[in-house]
Amino acid sequence: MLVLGIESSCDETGVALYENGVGLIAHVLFSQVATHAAYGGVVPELASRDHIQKLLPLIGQLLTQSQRTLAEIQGIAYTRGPGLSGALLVGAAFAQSLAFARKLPCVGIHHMEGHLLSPLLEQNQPEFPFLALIVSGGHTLLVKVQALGDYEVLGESLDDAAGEAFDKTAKLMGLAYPGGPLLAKLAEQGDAMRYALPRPLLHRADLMFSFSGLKTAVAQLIDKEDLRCVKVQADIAASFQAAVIDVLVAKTLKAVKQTGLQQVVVSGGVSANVWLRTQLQAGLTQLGAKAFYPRLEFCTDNGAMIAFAGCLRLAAGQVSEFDFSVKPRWSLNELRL
Amino acid sequence: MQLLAIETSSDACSVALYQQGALLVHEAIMPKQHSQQLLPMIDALLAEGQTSLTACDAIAFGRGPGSFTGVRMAAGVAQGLAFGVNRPVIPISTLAAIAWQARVTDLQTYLLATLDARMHELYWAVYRLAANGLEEIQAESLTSYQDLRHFLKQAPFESPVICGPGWAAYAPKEEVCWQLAAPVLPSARSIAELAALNWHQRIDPADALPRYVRDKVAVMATIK
Ligand SMILES: Nc1ncnc2c1ncn2[C@@H]1O[C@H](COP(=O)(O)OP(=O)(O)OP(=O)(O)O)[C@@H](O)[C@H]1O
Repeated sequence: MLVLGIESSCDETGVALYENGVGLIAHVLFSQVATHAAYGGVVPELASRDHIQKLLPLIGQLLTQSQRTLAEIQGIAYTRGPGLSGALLVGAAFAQSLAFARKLPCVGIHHMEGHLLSPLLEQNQPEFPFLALIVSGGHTLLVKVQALGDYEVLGESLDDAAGEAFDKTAKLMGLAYPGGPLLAKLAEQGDAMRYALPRPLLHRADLMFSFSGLKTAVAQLIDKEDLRCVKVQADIAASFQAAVIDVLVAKTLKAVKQTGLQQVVVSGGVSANVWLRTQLQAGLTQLGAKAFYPRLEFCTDNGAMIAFAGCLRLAAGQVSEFDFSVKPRWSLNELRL
Repeated sequence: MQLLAIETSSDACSVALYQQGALLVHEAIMPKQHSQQLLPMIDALLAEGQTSLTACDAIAFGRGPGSFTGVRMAAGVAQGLAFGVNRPVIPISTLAAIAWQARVTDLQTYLLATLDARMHELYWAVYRLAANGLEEIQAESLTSYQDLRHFLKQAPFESPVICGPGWAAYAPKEEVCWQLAAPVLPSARSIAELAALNWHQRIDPADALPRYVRDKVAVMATIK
């Protein structure tokens, strides 16, 4: 079955074709980063306006690139939530209408399910059951993945998401938008031991996260230190990054011990972080466990993961007919197959 | 000629099927329900018309101005349907639809269509009856009520018939010197009729985009 996947939950329009038994056929992405940069954050109305302009041209590109035709598509999947409601609605309305017109099965996908299944698009892939750490701009989740559609959220952030903490701290330091990757780059040259920053909730027995206090601690640091000095900047970045990563790694290892699961899928924008990868690797090796990542371009939002998750669900017989209402807030725990 | 028309720019949701001059219309007021009801409504409409989407020659939609989300939904659905059956799209102004609904037989009468744009502003435009339905006399605008009044004072035409819900939202109650039509919402009925009259305006589905009129929607972050 050849499935078209559509992602439009935030500031990326992504489309892809996935065929079971064959694999990923093609994918195309348009990022709106430049549109929102001038505003210092994603402007929901502008994001929606951009999605409706880009979606069909991107699908045209996708078909040309893959040398497939509309008539060959046998199923359609789109992101139903969570995300920005106006942005989600563009993809949902289009996808369900296209499916209606072509009399195809159609399914709305949970964006986070897309992320947590994305390592299954790679050669080196985990088998169910596994543990997933999803760290993105909007989410910090530790999830027990029993099977397709059977998820248990073991831990999540009580306030800011990990990526959000990176972005907000970068903004405090005067870095350009979106600052997370820039901050991580800066941290590479810094001394992570120079400033002692808190490790929120590190010693709590549960698997919850909290990152907003860390941002406040950095703000106080910035007031005291001279940010014009490049060394200071790099050291603050490194100290901040170490604090976030320490907590992410510690809680993930705790989850491995608690669940006995030996495979850990890591996905979402922050999973591109090099320090996270090295620290996690070291910790997991000691426990005899192993990490699985999607390829770098699929760490952030993309249509491929939606086409893939959609293909699995459609192959399992799931369809959602005619209804293109979206779920801006939607817990993974609610999912079933 | 067979056309399917969609209109979701307000709390009303309506779909219309134009078949060789005959019209079938389904409509309902359903705030926040459009996304659940629109496709089932289209399905029922096509069934009642004993036809199918593939038998339609084009898809028409109310392209705004109106609720941003609403007009985007109409555009998304029109794009999806039209792309799916390889047919063109005909975008129709929601203000023109309102004027068309209030049309009078006197060709010399001017029609002022108004919609509440919120934030103390109105969307409005002026039309007159013409061979292809309506002739646009004053392009779609976004102004305060005061600025609209100012325009009308200086306008090179006699007092127009005022239609649509925008005017009543801002005009003081004692204002009686205007001819008012019932403040109806845009309907797929008039979208379909105008589309049939403007057959030459069909475009590629990828170009079927909303016309928001209000384009300033965000304030640039101030650089500290
Ligand atoms: N190397 C890096 N180190 C730390 N953070 C990073 C790095 N690269 C990207 N990020 C962060 O990843 C986030 C973007 O990831 P992604 O696109 O998955 O998230 P999103 O779309 O904002 O959120 P969600 O997927 O939850 O809706 C941003 O917050 C960005 O700062």
